[in-house]
Parts: sequence; C-alpha cells; structure tokens
Amino acid sequence: MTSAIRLAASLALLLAASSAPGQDAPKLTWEEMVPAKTSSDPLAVTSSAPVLALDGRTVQLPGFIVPLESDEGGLISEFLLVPYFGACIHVPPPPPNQLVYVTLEEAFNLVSLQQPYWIEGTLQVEEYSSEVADSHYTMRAERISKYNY
Amino acid sequence: MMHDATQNGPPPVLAATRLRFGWQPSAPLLDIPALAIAPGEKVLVRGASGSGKSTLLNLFAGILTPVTGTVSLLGTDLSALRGAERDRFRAEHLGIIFQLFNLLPYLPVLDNVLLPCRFSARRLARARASDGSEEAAAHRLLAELGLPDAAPASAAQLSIGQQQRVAAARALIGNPEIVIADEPTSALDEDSRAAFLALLQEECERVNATLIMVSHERSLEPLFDRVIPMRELTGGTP
Amino acid sequence: MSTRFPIARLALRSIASRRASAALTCCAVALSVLLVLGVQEMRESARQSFASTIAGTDLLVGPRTSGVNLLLYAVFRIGQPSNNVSWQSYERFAAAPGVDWSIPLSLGDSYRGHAVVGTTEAYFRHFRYGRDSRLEMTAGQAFGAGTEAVLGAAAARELDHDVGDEIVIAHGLGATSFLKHDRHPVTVTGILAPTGTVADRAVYVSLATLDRVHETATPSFAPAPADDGGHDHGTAAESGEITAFLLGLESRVQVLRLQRTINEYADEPLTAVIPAVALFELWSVIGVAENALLAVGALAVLTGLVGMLVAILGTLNERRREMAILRSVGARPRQVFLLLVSEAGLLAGAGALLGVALKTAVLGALASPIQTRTGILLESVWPGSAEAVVVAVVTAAGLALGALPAWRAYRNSLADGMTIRL
Repeated sequence: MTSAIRLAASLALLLAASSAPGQDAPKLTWEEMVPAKTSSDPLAVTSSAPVLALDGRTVQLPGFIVPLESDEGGLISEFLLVPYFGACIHVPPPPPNQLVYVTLEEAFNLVSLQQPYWIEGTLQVEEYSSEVADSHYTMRAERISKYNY
Repeated sequence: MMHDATQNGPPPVLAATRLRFGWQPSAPLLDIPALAIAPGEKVLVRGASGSGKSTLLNLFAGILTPVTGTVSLLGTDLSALRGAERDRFRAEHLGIIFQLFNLLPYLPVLDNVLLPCRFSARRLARARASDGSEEAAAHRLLAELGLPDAAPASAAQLSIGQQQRVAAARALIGNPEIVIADEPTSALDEDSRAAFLALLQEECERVNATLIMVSHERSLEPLFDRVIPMRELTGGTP
Repeated sequence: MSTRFPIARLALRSIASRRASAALTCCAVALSVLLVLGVQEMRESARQSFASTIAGTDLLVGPRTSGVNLLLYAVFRIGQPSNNVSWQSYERFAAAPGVDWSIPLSLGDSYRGHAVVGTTEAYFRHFRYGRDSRLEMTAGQAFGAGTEAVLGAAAARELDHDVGDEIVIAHGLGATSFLKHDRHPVTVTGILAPTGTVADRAVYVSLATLDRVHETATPSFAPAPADDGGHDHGTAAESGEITAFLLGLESRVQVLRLQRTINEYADEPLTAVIPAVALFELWSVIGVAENALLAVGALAVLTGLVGMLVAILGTLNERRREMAILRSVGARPRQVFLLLVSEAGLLAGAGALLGVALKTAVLGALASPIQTRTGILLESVWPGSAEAVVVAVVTAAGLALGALPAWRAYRNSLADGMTIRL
C-alpha cells in the first residue's frame, strides 16, 4: 500500500514539474543558431540563414538589448536581441541568424544598454525570400531576467 | 487588612502600615508605623516646606509606591495593584486639588470640572445618579462654590481664588470618597483662605467625603478636626 | 466631550487653542507635500509626453552628430541643427531596398514663436506617436500643392487661427524676426488633433511652400545679403538640403544593417539612429536629474515635519503641568503619550491633506498654460494613489516624530506626579 502511495506521489511531482511553465527551459547558445557547415572547406562562408529546426522551441537565450519601441512610460515593448554590445555602433551588425526580433506582452524596464539579459520564450523562424528581407528568428518573450556575470 | 486598633467604628478610608519611602535607600524620607484616617474626617497634615508633604500625598494617591509597607485606600492595598489599576482606582475614588494651575487652559471651566467623569465610568455614573446628568452636577457644584456663571469661561479669565474653587468642584464631581489637597490655599490671600476652606469642607460633608490636606500654615490648624504634624510621619526625632 | 475617546477630543481641543502655531505648522507640511507631489506629477507627465512624441519609426537620419542631439533637435525641436542633409542622400535612402516609407523634415523657420516644419504629406500618412497612434485632423485637411499649412492643436489654440486664415512665415527661429516672407502668405488648410506632445506646437508646410516662400527672401529696404543671413533654411530646391528624415522599414530586423550602411555612407557624413535607443539614452541623462528632484522633494517634507517636531518640543515644558493634571484625574501614562502623538499625527495629516488640495488647485490652474507652452499634457490633476501614499507616509512620519516628545512627556508624567514646582 505505502509503495503505491509513494509511486503516486512521485508521479504527481513529476507532472507538476513538467507542467511548470518555463521553469527550466533549455539554454540556447548563439552558435547553435547558425547552421553547421556542410563542407569541410575552411574557406566556405558561414550561412546567415536560421536553423529551421529551432522553430517552435522554447528556450532561454542570453544577449544584449537594442530597443525598437518604447511606450509612454519609457518601458521597452519591442527589441532586437544581439550577441554582443555595440551592434549599432562599433562593429558590423550581426547576420540575420545571430539576432532575434523580440516582442513582449508587458513592456519592461530596461536598466542599461550595457546590461545583458536572459530572454525566455518560444523561437519562431520567419521566412522571407525577397531581396529586402532575410529569414530571421522572432520570439514572443515570456520571461526576462538580468544576466548575472 | 489591618484596622487601626485605636479606632472603633467604620473601617478607615486610608490606612498606612509600616510605611517607608525614600529616594535613596539609606535616607528614608517618610517612616510611618501606623496611620488611619476615618471616613468623613477632615485632616490637616502640617509641616514646613520641603518636609516631604507632597511625597506623602503622592503615596496616598498611588502615584508613588512605598519602599516597604502598605498604603490601603478603602481597604484596597495600592501596591498590590498594577499601574493601570492604580490609575483607575485614583480616577474612581480620589479628587485631587493642586496648589496652582489646576485647570487645563484649552478647555472651558465646565469641561475642566467634568474631566474625572471622562476617565472614570463610576464617577460619571454617580454624577448622573445624583443630578440627572454630569453637566447638571457640574453646574450645581460650581453654584455651591460661588461660581454660578463660570461654566463657559476659560481658565485664563478667572482669578486664582476662582480657579481654586473650580478645582474643588472638579475634585468633588461624581462623589469620590477621598479629597486630597496639596497646599490649595497657599496662593490665595488671607481673607480668601478661610472662605475657600469653609466651602471645601462644606462640600465634603455634603457627600461624606474624607478631606486630607497638607499645608505649611499654622493658622489653618483650628479649622480642622485633626492635625498631624509632618514630623510624626518622617520617623525623625520629634 | 463624552466618555468615548477622551484623548482624541483633548487633542483636538488642545490644537484648537493653539490655532495660529498649529496653522503655521500645517502650512509648512502642506507646502513641502505640494512640492513633492507637484514635481512628481510634472516629471511623469513630461516623461510621458516625451516618450510619446515618436513611435513606429525605425530610423531617424541626419547629419553627423550624436544620436541624442539629433533626436532632440529634429523630433523635440530642442536645440539647433548645425548642419544639413543633402536632398540626394535623402532620395537615395528613401528609395533603398527594404524601406517602406520616408518623411523628410526641414526645420529653421518660425511663425510667431512656433517652429515651422517643412515636410511632405507622407508625414500625415505615416507619422505615429504614443502607442502607435496616427495623426488626425480636427478640421480641414493636409496641405496640397498650394502655399498651404497645417497647424498643430496647441499652435492653433495659442495663435487663435482657424482653417482659411493666412499666416506669414518669418526667417530664422526666433519669436520675432525682421526678415519676414511677406510676399507669400500661407493659407491654413487643416488643424491637427492634440497629441499631448511637442508636435502640437508646430506649423507644418510642404517643402514646396517653403521654397516658394524663400524665393524672395530680401525685403525691399534691406541690402541684398551676400549669403542668406547665416540662417539655416534647409529647403530642398534652393539649397538642396533638409534637416533630417525618418524611415520606416518593411522588416524591422533590417534596421541594424541599414543603420550601418547609412553611418558608413561615403558620399556624406550621416548619422542614423534608432529613435527608441536615442530616447533610452536621453532618459539615462534625465533620470539622474529626476532622482535628484525627488530626493529634494522628500527632504522638503522631512524639513516640514522636523519644524513641527521643534514646535511640539518647545511647548513640552509648559505642558508638564497639563500632564500632571490629567494624571491626577485618572489618565494613564499611556494616554498622556497618545495625546501628544495624536496631536503630531493630526497636524501632519492635516498638513498633508492641505498639500494635496493645494497641488490639485495649482496644477489644475496651470494645466492649460503648460500644455499650450510645452505640449505636455498633465494627466492626473485629481488626487490618486500617489497622493494617498504621500498622505499616509507623511502622517505616519508625523506620528513617529511625535513619539519623541510624547515619550518624554510619558516619562515626565510618571516622575512628576503632583510635585511640580512652578
């Protein structure tokens, strides 16, 4: 009898843990967002296309925030997430598969442009095939937290 | 509870037994082996200034507690009560008159007289029982003390003699059993003194209250039933 | 007085008997509360107004300068542009692949203290503010090919103009300028609905109108100037220059790439900035000043309260007799304590409420002139949760500060008994 209870308890715990939203969404690295090189030629150019397999995956991704839209309170509602600071200024901008266009349900208070953040949500891949727009990643972020070094 | 063996009849309103008090343990200010005051007595405790009269009154009123011994009022040992209970006991059974500045400056005379009724339900009830309402009781007392129209005035508008009479009215409202007065006539001129005391004693008799007064003035001695010299209470050599 | 709450009523009577000094204390507290609340309100409204001024724009492009500076003079019209953008550069990037729309801006003229903005009708179609709100007309329509203008809501109200009126545009950016373009009066064709931003204050004309108006710049009695007096005209045809332009992209993700391209443009030194980023940088600068203001306000409240404390402590000695009297009629030491604390709390609370009333009155009176002068819309003139919090905090602080003299009185009343020698 007691072993049955124990089994039921651990099953319940397991269910609870897995249904907890985004409790432990897997962490993604920026390298994983670039498709692997198909040829072994060292001079082959790295693709700037997104990895289609990531479409629909719920992940956590760290990066710097480039605001695109803020509301009347000065809170940020849309931004680009990029892997390094200064993507606007010092260095060439990242290729399309090294940035994410993020929108938020609830605008948040950005502390500083130099503060990196963990963004958690479901990645989508938006496909374009015109000369003016490339396929890229988007995300509707569910959680944002400061990145602690 | 011990009755004073020298008294027969009703139990004392105030009894002090082996009472000692001093600010420093080595120098007791007051040393009273036994003291009993009967109901309705008019007692004068006479002594020079600084002889500890006010300290004695503070002990009688329960504001100070003795180092050793007991003070019993109406059969209740004051030191057995907690602070808040003593405060309530004082409100219910004692009327107090100071030498000067008896009145709250921001209340009219009527409200000053009514103060004990605000802090004691018993006094309030007794005032209402005797006169119908506490305001009526206040007006009556003021009239009997010679101040029939003073009720709406403020303290600042009254002379010292008038203020002392208002203080007497306040001490008496709601029929407390004991009235304690700390040199109430010292600020009055000679003519007024006797008159004030006569009024005060008359009022006390009316409600059968016991009057305990301290003063340094010998001239008042004839006006009292009983005079206790301060030196009898200090334990010093007479 | 009844037997209920004797202390509360004693406190009220006591304050009433010291009406004059109590009133002064209340006023001191009220003024400092007014300061805190007024500053808070202005701060938030200013922030909202600024933050709402531009939305839905991917890039703001101008001559080489800092992003914040460009935002300030091109969008907020604070400060002067010192350089221009050539029309060719504008055309080149307006036509770049991936650009959905563009709005050129030409600043430098004024009409009776209001900035004149030369632009195209693309402005009325694409410009957004607040939460992606579109511009709307309350009267008339956008300018067309004629010498016409559209007025912002505050400009129309302040200058008392309506559709059909004629206005004359002056040279330079001052309220008065002695080189007026008299020969080409401009007709008002439309008035914009209020946006609550600085956009309400401007006069909008087409670039062609600006050209026309500048054709004969020299009035008859002045010598023809060698240059045009050193003013920045920035009209397309005459000097082939504009002040700045706005770009909207088909895909926002392209913004970083296009920004880089513009910044590295070899033919002309240009700066392209993402408005949201420049705004954020602006806030970081202003934020420091805002926090300083708030700190000053809080200190002002504290000063008012300390003044009250000093007043109470000053009267404490006189009131020892009063405390002894209360003790003699049966008040407990705790009630003596409560009496003084509640007096302090009452004064602080009354002062805070008075401060809220003052703030409502003052801001209510100033709301309209402020909006007309600056475009800032004061959102919440009536008391709300911020006011409730301030009243609660100030009252609590008054009670806390009052506890000091009350404690002393409490101790005194125990020690004094009936033995005060006065």
